[in-house]
Amino acid sequence: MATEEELANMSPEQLQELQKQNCIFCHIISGKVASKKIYEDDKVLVILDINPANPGHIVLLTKEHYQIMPQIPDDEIAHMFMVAKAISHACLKALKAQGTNIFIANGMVAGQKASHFMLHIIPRMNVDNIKIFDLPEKNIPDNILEQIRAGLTNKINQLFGINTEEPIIFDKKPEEIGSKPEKEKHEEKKIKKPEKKSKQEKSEDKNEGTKEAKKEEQKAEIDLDEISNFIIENEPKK
Amino acid sequence: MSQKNNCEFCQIIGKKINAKRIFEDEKTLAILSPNPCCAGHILLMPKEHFSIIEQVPDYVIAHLSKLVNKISIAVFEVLQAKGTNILIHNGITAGQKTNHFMIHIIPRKENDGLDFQWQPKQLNEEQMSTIELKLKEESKGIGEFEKEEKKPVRLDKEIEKIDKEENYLIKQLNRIP
Repeated sequence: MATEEELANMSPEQLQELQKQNCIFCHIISGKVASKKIYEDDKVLVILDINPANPGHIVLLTKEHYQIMPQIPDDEIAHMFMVAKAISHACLKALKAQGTNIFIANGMVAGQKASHFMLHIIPRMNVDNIKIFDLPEKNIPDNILEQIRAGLTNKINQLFGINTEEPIIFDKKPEEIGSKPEKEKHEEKKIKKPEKKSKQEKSEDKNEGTKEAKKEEQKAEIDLDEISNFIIENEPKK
Repeated sequence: MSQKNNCEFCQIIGKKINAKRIFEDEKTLAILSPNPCCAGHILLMPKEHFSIIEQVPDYVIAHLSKLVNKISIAVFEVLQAKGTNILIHNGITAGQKTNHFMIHIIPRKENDGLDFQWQPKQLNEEQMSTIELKLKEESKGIGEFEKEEKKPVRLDKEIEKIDKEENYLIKQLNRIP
């Protein structure tokens, strides 16, 4: 194992390599660790979970080492879900299951335990007494929902490069969701966002390597750091 | 058809019932859940009525999953969520409450009161091996996925585009003295 000092001096590429070396699921994929394989192709590996929620609990892994979903290219996500559909069907037929849950924990707070991104497929029986997937219902005030709707609509349209008529303005952050340390950051956004960029500027922004932008964002936002770097506590200081 | 007529979500898609729409395209609709489990709980569904995932064509699944990723990224940034859960209930036994197939996207924060952690069940080696064999046998056919057939309507649109381009070219030509 590398010492803390060594970790601090490593480049991001080296860190990623180290993570791969320490990832049990990468070892399963390469065959160094034994597993009960169900299906395999060039992009994904499907195995039985060793700590199943229910008999036949299946884990679908990407062969490439990704930590969280935003890192995964679109075509691989699409492939994962199409395989998941087929595996879900196999569960119904082979195990006489009456239903399936397809579940992704994306990020540590969402319950992700390994640093390797995975998709769970859990066959369900009438009497299996699993209640975790029954969603509770909460009363959330309409004005907060409306703010969320406006914010998400704008962001999603922006991601797809669609011009929205509604300007991206957050007068007030949804109270329930916001936590105190982020207030300052939000104020910055308030200043920046109302300035409408011209089409050209927008497209230029996108071309200028979203990776760099993301890195900067990760440094600014402690939250994103926590999500993607939950193995490495210390960022390389150079 | 009667199932479709009674489906609350088909009526939302047909704009007969109001909902907080956050994204819409030809095949899919994403709304904020009318019965949210937390602020920002999103439902993503195909516009066509399907009950379970087995009925949904592969290319629609592929399209939905790309949207899941994009919406999840938006949730991270807009709601400052620290994680997301993606959940599909497939069948009433699995907790499906509606007749319309949908994907739940649930933004997560620390101490938000939600918990999807399961209690591991103990199975012996023999049980595991039996399950493995059965599933392996059933999964042999996986690998070919349906692709979308191109509709004649699309061709019309393309022709329109070409027309416009031609007009544009003609205009350019006219400008030349």
